Amino acid sequence: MAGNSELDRWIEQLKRCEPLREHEVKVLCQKALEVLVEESNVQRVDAPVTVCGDIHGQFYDLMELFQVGGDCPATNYLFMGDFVDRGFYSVETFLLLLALKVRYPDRITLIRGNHESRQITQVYGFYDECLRKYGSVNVWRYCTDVFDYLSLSAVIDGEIFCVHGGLSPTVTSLDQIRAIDRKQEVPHDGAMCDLLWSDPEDIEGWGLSPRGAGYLFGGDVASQFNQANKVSLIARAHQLVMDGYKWMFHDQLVTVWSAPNYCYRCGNIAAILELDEHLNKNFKVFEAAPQEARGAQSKRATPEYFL
Amino acid sequence: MQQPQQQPQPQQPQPLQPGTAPAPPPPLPMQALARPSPASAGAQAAAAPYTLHEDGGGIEIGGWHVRATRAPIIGDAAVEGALSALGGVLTVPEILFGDSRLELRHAASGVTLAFDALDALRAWRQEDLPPLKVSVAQQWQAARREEIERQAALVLEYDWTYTTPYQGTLEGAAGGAGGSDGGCDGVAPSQQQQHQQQQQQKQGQPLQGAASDDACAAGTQGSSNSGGAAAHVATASADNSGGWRQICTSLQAQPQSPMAAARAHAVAASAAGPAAPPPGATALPPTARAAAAISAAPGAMQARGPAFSSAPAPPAWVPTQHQADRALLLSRDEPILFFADVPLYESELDDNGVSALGVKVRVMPRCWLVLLRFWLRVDGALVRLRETRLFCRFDQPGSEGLVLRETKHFEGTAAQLRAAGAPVAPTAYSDGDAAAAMFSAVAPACLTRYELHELLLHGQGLGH
Repeated sequence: MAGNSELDRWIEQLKRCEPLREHEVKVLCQKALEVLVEESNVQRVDAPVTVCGDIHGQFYDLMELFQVGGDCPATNYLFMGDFVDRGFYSVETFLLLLALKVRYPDRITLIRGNHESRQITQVYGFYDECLRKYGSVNVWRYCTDVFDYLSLSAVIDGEIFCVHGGLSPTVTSLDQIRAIDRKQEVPHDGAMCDLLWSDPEDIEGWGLSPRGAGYLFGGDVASQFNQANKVSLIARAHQLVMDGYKWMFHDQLVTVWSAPNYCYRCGNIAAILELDEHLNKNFKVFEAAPQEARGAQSKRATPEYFL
Repeated sequence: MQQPQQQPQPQQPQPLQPGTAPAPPPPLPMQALARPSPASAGAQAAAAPYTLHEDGGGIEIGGWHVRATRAPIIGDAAVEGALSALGGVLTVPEILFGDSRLELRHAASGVTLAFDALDALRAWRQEDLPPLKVSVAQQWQAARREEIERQAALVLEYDWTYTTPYQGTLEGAAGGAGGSDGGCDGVAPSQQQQHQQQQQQKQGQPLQGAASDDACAAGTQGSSNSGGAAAHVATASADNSGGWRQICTSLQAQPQSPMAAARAHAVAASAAGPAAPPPGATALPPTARAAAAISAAPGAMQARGPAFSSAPAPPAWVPTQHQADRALLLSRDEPILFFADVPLYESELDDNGVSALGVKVRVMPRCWLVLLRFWLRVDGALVRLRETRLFCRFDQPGSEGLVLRETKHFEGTAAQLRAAGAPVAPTAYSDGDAAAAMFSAVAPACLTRYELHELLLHGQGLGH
């Protein structure tokens, strides 16, 4: 099994954006399962900690994030899901985060996003990337098995509730989240689905998305949840925000987004939320890694004879 | 699509002189436009001088000024502005390139063909399709009926796919011959539309049936479009420069019933009678909706507003049989002097698919081509494609004043795609090109609209 020296070697390799070999991925994922299975659905995290939003396979921008926020384990990190899909380097991104998790389990917390799912990754890139890079879907299988063990949420010093998407009408207390059997594919309904999918919106109470599936929750809902659970803030990710972070509901909820120039064309800024030991908040914003740092993947519009 | 290998041939840039207005062009050689011309013949002789903008963002050629602006997505403050500018909608696409724009200005008439996200979203609001349901909706709601009722959850009803009939914005010259300063300020839409119609009559363009042969192929939707130009809803508004502006859409002139106009956008699902929807939940006030329905109804233009005579009448799109010269567009002997790909908006539909609107332009020595494309994939439920192509050649006397437009709409539900022999899996439609290729492979299945129009632009003093 992987010892620390081997893990260190893998971390160094992954930091160069070089994927591990398939059998190494298998070992890493097995090790990760052993670590993650011990975690609660509401993982306890101590400040100081730096809270991060969606990454989406933008590996070089994750490197930029570590430059801005400091290296792990020197900095304690909490990533709120959506490590994979959309970007070019979901494999390297997820494996690096996972290797750091196995190596420094108390210095990095990974919670599950709606993209950490078999169904979604088959549509939005991670499945195809695994197939393209390894010639088989074994790596995708190992990784998606790990997804099932990722925690669903975290609470920082009992004060800040962190989740990928948002709240659920079936969840009024944190204990109800603790009671969920999370070790499964993200279901289409129920509390687990909502935590990973729902969005805050400027409405009163609960809203049903015009799509016919998915909840929206208003400021009063957030306020009631925070009071009932004695937390002061909900930190979540899941939605692109141009400025990297966005406050809502009189500072009772904040969205954090950590993928700059999302999908390599939005031109948005990314942010991470630094919390010191007194939970003072400091947003650090950053832009996409410079072109020269990202190797061959820079894209320029070339004239095309479209019809 | 192959990438071009040629570089633009070195030519002496000849800056267009500002302020010189060419005389009105002679009558257009229509037959010459329709006739396929071998691209190699006379390419050198006909190639127009051009000037590329120093920043690479545009070109001036053949009586046209083409300018593409690409900007990052707009931030929170601008999004708030867009939400209210659209009548208090709850959401706009999260990837909104609100400061991006493509425009093609016809120097002689001052008329500009522009492409802009906000105008496209105005057309989205106007069309206001009933909300689609994602493939898991039934299952999702069945599992939660009690919960939804207990929470008195607000059911939001609007077209969350951002499907737009937008075909570009037509912007006129400020003032105009004989027009007083700000003469167009405050002109009501109905008056503008009346002008549009008068102008069409003046031009003596065939208003009826010209496109019917082609429209027949499009099947059911085309059948209600017998009114020719009247079928085009032109939302005109006076802009602050004293000119006029029309958002061109391909909306049908189908009457909307008062019931449709009154359909609440947000209804509470609870049988227990919860509170009325908060203001923010109503995507568009019913009154605004009703007004939109009236202006879209046939006959509305004649029924409302007095004639308005002091402003220049705007040019208008009218049905035609002319098509773009495909041989010219296919020719690789024509180097691309200017190319731009300008995304206008995109939404990931909260990971239920893709909705995207973007516009591309390529400018060659003898013509330009614009492709405005909206495409939508709702995973496992539907694929939709709406394409508008604009073509103009400027290698013949006066031909730069004629713009040809082709409209193509395709749409397939999962069942229709399956029936047409097309794949249903979302991965088969990874981008707009893939969707377009798939639809053209199965056509005429899934083709819901095909139309040809033309826009005739004169020199200054338009319409007078």
